[in-house]
Amino acid sequence: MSDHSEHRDLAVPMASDTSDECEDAPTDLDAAFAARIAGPLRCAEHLAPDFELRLFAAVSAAEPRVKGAARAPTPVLAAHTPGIRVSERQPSWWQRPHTVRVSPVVGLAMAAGFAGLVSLATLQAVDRPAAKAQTAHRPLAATVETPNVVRFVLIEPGARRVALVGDFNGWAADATPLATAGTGGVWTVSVPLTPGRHEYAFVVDGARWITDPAAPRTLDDFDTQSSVVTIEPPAQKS
Amino acid sequence: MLVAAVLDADPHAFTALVSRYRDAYTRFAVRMLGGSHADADEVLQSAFLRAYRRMDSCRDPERFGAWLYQIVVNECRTYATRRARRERRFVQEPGDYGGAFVAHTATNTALRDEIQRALDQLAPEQREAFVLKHVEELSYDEMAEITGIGVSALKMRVKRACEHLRALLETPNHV
Repeated sequence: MSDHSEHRDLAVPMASDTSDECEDAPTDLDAAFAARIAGPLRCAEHLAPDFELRLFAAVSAAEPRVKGAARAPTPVLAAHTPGIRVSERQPSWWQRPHTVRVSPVVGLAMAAGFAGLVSLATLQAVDRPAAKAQTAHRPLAATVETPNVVRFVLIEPGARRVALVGDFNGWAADATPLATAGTGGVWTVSVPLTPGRHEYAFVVDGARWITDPAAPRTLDDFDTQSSVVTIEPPAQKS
Repeated sequence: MLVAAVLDADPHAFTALVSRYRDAYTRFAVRMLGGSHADADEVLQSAFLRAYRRMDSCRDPERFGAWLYQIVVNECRTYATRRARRERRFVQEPGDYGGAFVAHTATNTALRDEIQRALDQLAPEQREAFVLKHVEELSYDEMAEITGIGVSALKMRVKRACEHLRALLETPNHV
């Protein structure tokens, strides 16, 4: 459980928090009414596709609140630098790779096979400033410095919803939805990835597994195909 | 140990982590902010940036989602308060939504918009409690953890929210 006292300073006090505690709880009638009107309010809401890009730019520009030792300027690089002891380059709990789990949706997609592949997916890597000279592609959506943000694009005109699954999001079909801007069937999402090799695929309409024809493919232990994207580490300064 | 590990905050990993939770909080923010996606975008950007700066206060990584939810809820409160001070956009004219729920003639989208407008008429604390309970379908214990408010007070807020919404939506031409 979280420590309430730790977070209490975040709260904006609400008026009359205790004035109504002696009254009755919601009735069955209230619950029935609420169930009727809450349904339409439960539809999914999505933000602009560049939300992550803008957040990443803001986070990158922000100084994290760090106690103790100063934060390394390039923590990802440090993790790949020979000679650094493992204990010194342990990633944070939220950076560590987690056990890959296959969601029920992905399981269904595997069973359904790979039929209906009518898509084209492309990747555009937005690399670190230090590696810009080596970049073959320029970012389409990024107008700010956005190190290692990868833009996944899937052209799937008939899709009602598309999700990106990969080792970076635990293969969770509900974690990284793609957004479509219009009627052309172009679905996009931008995801910050750490340098290294990443496997991924698209899940269309919650049931159809699609690999990226424009990217290398790999087979896992269950003979399921996935696509591979490799993010080069930033160029080392000599 | 966990706090020490979190202190190595990496923008890449943080953004990827937040993206897992973004959609879950987007609906809450949109509902709390009058259906405005632009306002929700601004609030979530602010909330996630604040979370990044305060990662060292997240002591239990297993509860990261709830911790982040607390920040989102508080950002919504702050934003709504600021906005209410500078405009009165939620004031509705008589007849805007009266009887819409009874008539059942609106499309799904129109019905949702009508309900959203009624939701906007609630006191902020009632709207927050109603959305968390009936839209996000959280338990009262989960709501208490996120909001820092007692369960009995939350139940009363939900009850009053339901009564108010019923008055707004089930009485034709009710103001």
